[in-house]
Amino acid sequence: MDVFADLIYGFSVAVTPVNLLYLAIGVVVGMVVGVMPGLGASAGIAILLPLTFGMDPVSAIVMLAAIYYGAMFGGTITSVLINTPGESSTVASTFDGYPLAQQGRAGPALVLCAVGSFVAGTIGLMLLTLLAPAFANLARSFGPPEFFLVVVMGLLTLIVVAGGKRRYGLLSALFGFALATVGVDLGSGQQRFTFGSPDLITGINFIPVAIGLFGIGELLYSLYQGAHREESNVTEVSASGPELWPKREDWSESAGPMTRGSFLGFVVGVIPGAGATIASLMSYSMEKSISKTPEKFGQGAVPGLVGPESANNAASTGAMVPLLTLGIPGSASTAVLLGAFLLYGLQPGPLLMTQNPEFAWGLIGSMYLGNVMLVALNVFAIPLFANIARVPYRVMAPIVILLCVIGTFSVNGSIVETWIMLGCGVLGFFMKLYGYSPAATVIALVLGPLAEETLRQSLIISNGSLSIFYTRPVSLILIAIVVLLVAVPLALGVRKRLARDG
Amino acid sequence: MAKAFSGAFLAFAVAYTLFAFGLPFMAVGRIGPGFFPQILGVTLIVISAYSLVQDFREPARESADDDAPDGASGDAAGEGSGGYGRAVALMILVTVVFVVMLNVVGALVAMVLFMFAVLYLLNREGMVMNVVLSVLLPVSVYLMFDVWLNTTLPQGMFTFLG
Repeated sequence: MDVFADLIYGFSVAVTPVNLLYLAIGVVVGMVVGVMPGLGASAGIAILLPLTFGMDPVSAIVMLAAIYYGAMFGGTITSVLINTPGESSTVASTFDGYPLAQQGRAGPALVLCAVGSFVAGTIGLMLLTLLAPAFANLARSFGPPEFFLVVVMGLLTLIVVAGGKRRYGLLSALFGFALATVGVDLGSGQQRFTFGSPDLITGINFIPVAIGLFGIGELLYSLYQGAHREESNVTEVSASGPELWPKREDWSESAGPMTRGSFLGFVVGVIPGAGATIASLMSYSMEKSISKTPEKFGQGAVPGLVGPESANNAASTGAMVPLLTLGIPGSASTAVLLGAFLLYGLQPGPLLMTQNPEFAWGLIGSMYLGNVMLVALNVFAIPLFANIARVPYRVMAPIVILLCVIGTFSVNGSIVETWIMLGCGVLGFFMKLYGYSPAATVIALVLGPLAEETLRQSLIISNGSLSIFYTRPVSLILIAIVVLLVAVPLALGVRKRLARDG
Repeated sequence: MAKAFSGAFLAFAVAYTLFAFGLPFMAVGRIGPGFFPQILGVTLIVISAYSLVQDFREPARESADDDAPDGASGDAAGEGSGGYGRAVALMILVTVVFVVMLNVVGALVAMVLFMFAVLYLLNREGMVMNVVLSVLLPVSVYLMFDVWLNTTLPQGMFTFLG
């Protein structure tokens, strides 16, 4: 099968000493980022992006992607040990993970999570290996109108699914679009919103915005909530001995949730906008409803821990499908990854798999290996990472700010971008405070130019007529999906309000 | 305060749209540079106005809609447990000074001063550790960026450190 040939090729790209080294670095950094509450994967990727500029694109993306799924593993550790999710996607792990730790079963819990995540990641990757070429083939028939609609769809799903008030999410996205219009307009060469500043001619680079919104913004928000005052109370985990390994019945209890979580997570992850967090919560609900002992959930039920853990890893793999085949990011982290692709001159979309196979398949190959590294790290080096969780936030915070500032500056040597970063940091703080969505802004910032370009091309092809959108069959289907995405939540919201007032 | 923020959004929307209308909507028969911004601007004004109105209509903390989790990292609308506004303001202030200092005293010195200032503010009990960290970390970061990655960091007045 063609797919296997591609995969073998991918492994051959991934298994070079340089790429393995960067994979290892990415995996460790991902774990560390995941362990630290208040520093999300998206921030970690954004902050490390400037450091990758000297690297080969394949190596760079291998490392950045490793941070992404490594963080899924790392976030579990704090969820289980200190009841604080290191990542939003590991919130569900606190429900049953922390009780297990309190019962002295932290070791088995973490091992089960590690194995579950590994299984899920591998299953997800196998599905990705099979689906990605199929998706790419489908997308090959896409023209500018379809791409435009896919971009719109990606953005809408994020808003629809995002937390907080929907209108705030929409405003956040619109704001991102507005930022994206700064600079030289591609169609006419005319400057827009540059106010005569030479620094703004190339537009607002997404890196300072991403680092600011995700890195500084989240940090300020954590400070606001008093993270620097908290003392860490990390539950002890013994590194060896019989207490570390799960019992036989733990394994048999986990098999089902692991499998279910993997498939559920993958499917949810493929949907742009729905990501690891939702997948893990859905898995938790699912496991609870099909369990014969639902009352045990919340008190240390193994399925309640393993299911979500598998789901969030599978979802992060699933999110790579639209990213690689269509160029649509489904979440903040994948948006930053997409930005990285664009920076390296890689054109995500259906042609990526054929034009840059060493990149796409090399990445996929590296993900298999990354999963192996992670399960090994998690099973054998947990105490090491748990110690990172012990570093008090008040020491971590200045280090993070330092990296953000210097990292941003190092991108283009521009102090203006550093100020933009800082400005976005303050903005990000207020956005989080009032329930807006910084993720939507970054995604819109990355997708905005794509949207405008594809819309422009569509209208050029159709000579200015919008009919092109409804005379092409694929385009019609996409429009239908977009309408559904908007209408269904609206209808549900109206129904909820009627039920409330009635 | 939330209303002030929404109000700021509206103000931004209006300003943006005003500038957008200075750009040509159509150019040579195809969409011009003003097309997207103008549509975007009008939409922004409409939505942010609507949002502001809704903010005024809703009673203080209506959290019924707020339980849908989101796919990005940690975006839950949390208005609850905060209150360390002073810490936030201080941190912003110190960081602003840091960025200004970058071009005045150069990256290395600015980093050391910044680290020390923040650690002094946040971690008063571990002063020895603070001093160690304040020197160790900036030096490592500086080495990482300047030597390993070969990026240029601001020198400020101390050009001999280059």
